[in-house]
Amino acid sequence: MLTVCADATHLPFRKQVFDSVVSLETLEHIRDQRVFLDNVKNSLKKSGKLILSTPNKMYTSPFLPKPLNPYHVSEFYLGSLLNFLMAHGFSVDYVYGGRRVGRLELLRRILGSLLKFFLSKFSLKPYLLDDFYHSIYNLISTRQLRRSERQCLIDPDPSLFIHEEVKSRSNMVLYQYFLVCAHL
Amino acid sequence: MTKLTDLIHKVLIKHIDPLTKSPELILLGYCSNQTASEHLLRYLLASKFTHGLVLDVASGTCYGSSILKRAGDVKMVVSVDIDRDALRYGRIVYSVDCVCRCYASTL
Repeated sequence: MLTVCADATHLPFRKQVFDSVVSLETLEHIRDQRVFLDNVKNSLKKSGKLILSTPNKMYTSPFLPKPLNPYHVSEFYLGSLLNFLMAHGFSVDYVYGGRRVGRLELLRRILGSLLKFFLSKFSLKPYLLDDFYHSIYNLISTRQLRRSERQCLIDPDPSLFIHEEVKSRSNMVLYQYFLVCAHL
Repeated sequence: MTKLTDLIHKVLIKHIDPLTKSPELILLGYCSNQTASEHLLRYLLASKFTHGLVLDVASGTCYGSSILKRAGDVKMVVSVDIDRDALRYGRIVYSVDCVCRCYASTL
């Protein structure tokens, strides 16, 4: 393993050296996303693969102009992510969705994020809402549930492999993040 | 072929909870196990597609690079991150058998 301390938009590598590039949950944190993808493209071999994942905007900050997470610069819906990749010459092989949520949960997220957005408009602190959620959660969750949440790493169950291949367009809004495998 | 769950256990650290005295496995640097397991499982999925020389952009403490290195036919993993301390930590913890120093080029 070789570790290199560098900026993702200034990768200090020669052209066409890597067989695969893995970049998980990085794209949404980068300001110059085009430069980043050009850098990645340059360091990939002709037959190389790019494995990239990014949160689903429909889940993290639906319909909002700016991401709610202060560390995210911009987030993608699946359609805009695929267009972005294709505009840089990548062709997408697989799309996986992770952590599927129910339609009711998605609705709660959408309403919650709109509410947070308006709270921030009126210079109220959006995290007040999170504190509220957490206190409710701690009240209603049993000790058992909290314990099982803490122990989810001790016994990694195969059913935790929640990644599913996204096939139909109607389901694609229901995942918390996407993992895309593409080649040049 | 190594079992996927074994790969996860390779990057975890055993920790004994001072209150309950029960041993648990943790991934350093993460506040909740749910977040940690999500990140680990994502690397496991990525490891299905990687081969040869792999570049891991924004690797953090290199736990993911370690998973990628152990899975499949990966020759070498180059981990890139902007945080020098995270990489320093990763070099100590996750690359016991294949330490290699490299120059640093920060902003």
